[in-house]
Amino acid sequence: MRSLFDFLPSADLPDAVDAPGAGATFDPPDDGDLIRPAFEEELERYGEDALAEAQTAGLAKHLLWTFGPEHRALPFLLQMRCEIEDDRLVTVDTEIGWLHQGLEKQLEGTPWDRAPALMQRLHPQNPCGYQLAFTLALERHFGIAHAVPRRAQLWRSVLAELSRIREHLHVVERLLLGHARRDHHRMIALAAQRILALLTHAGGTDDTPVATFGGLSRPLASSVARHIRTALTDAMGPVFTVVKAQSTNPALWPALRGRGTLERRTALSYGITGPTLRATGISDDIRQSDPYFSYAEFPPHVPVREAGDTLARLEIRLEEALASSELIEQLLLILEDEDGAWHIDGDAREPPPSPPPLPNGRSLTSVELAGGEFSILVESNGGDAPTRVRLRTPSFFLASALGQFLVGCRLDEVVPVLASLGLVGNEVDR
Amino acid sequence: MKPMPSGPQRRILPGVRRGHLIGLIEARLGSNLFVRAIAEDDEDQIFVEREHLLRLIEFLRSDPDADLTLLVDITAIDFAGSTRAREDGSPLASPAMVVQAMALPDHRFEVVYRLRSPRLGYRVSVRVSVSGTDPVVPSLTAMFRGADWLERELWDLFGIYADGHPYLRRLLLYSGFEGHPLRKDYPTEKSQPLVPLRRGPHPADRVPPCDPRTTDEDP
Repeated sequence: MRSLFDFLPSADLPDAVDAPGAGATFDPPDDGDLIRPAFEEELERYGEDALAEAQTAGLAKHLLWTFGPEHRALPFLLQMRCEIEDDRLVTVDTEIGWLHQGLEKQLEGTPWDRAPALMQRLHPQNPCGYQLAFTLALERHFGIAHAVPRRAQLWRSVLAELSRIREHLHVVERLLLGHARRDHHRMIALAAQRILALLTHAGGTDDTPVATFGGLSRPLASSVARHIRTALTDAMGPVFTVVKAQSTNPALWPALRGRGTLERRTALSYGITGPTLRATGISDDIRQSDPYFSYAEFPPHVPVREAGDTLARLEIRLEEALASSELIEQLLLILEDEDGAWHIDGDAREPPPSPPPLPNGRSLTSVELAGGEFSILVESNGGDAPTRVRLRTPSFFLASALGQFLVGCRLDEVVPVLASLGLVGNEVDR
Repeated sequence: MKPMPSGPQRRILPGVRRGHLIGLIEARLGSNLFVRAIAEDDEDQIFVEREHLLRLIEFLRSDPDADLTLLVDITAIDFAGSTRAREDGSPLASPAMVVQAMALPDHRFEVVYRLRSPRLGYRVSVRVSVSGTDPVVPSLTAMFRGADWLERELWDLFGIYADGHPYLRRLLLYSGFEGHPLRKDYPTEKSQPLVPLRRGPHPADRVPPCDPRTTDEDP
């Protein structure tokens, strides 16, 4: 196959354009530096002799590469327009919005009692955490969050932690694919399946959320708690094995070390939270700073790393999964003997014929999901539906900082760096 | 079973931090910097004029006793057509609604800036009222890089322009979309013009930055 260099065998490559500093992604690539149109078109237009005399300054300086929006290696529909010099990314311009569904606008027209079910559109594969968060937001809006029975709060914490483990293992599974031993990847996948089964057993994957406004929609028996507690150790066993292998051999995943590094200040400036922020050395967790459910009574362990790279994010997710499983065990031990009320209206409650209108005012609720801070603003003026709902999702801020993670990376490093962030497409686009 | 390790207990929890930031601002910048302030357990609410927004945010970000280095969110609320006070004259449910009723009738939008301190645990909402005829706020991109996309979304969905943004254009919706959907006067049944499918990079794909003060066209 002929190439441009067949005609210019002795041509010098042009001087490299000064690459912008890390993170200079405010300006999209200058179209004057784009690679020329298809080689055949140029040959036809100028002829072979003219090409041989072409000024070297007219040659492309950087290769422009459009990645997406549809590609199997991408976490969701996302387009990245990149400039490449040699084999490294020089600039990255990210474009989103292909999955925008107008969720906030929909919530403005939805009666509040049906709104938590809409949270499934934020993460169809794992909506439990979002539904719990919106239920809590409504309870705070009505001013009854403090009155929800302890038994319901304990179960909500169990569901939230199971959902967190599932999300962490899903991210790790994707990250280890192709970068770790096959048996380690298989172990994580097996653990993720078992955790999903436990979450289903607890009602965390039902179409109708088990956690409802005021408590639980139905009582979860002590036998359910006992079953989950005994099965949890088996489910997390493979994760223990992988973590132990990595701790005894720190060079186990060399391809992930030093890749996609983010500094602490940059992470804060972009509003990044969750494991990605904790990987830069900042111990930040909403479960500690603004406790909800049972976290004031049972504060979770928050692992921290300093490197800020892909390996640090991976280690944090694994360690958080283990810490969550220990917390779940603690909570389930209490739930096995807990026989208090499971709803604010008592055990023999009957749902009201029609839900009361939302009170005037505004409420703000923040929870810690697997990816970071998920915050909900609810504004209402006495109607059945809120007048404004704002969903602050962690993946949005990660996507806004993609240039920071990817500038300087080689092409083969793009996919593992993206996988380590755990981006959720519907969170970014809403 | 081994005891659960607890995380570092260095932050000031809700309830204890109530009103702290308001007192700090009054002590160091004076009480005439903001219109009204409401102390709450979770997040203090500070209402400020547009002209003082940058100064206040810069203080909250850089002062070591506030250390609000994390920009949580920038969003807006459209009050067009909403009831600001009860028709029967009865008192409103919350102090926040009292402030809204006191706002000038042409202050259609309220832009909310939420910040917090990962180190100290403080949270604050800074609120600015802007009119429907001049929906402009100063850009925070010089202080927070995360404000880039948030202000683009503000323009895209509300039509509120961030003055000083380096390259303001739509974020979630495509170039050629007409209107700003989260405004209350945007009909949900509105149809949009079809645009041709873009196949790869093209010089025409570069969307010019928007400035509603010089052009009537949406980018």
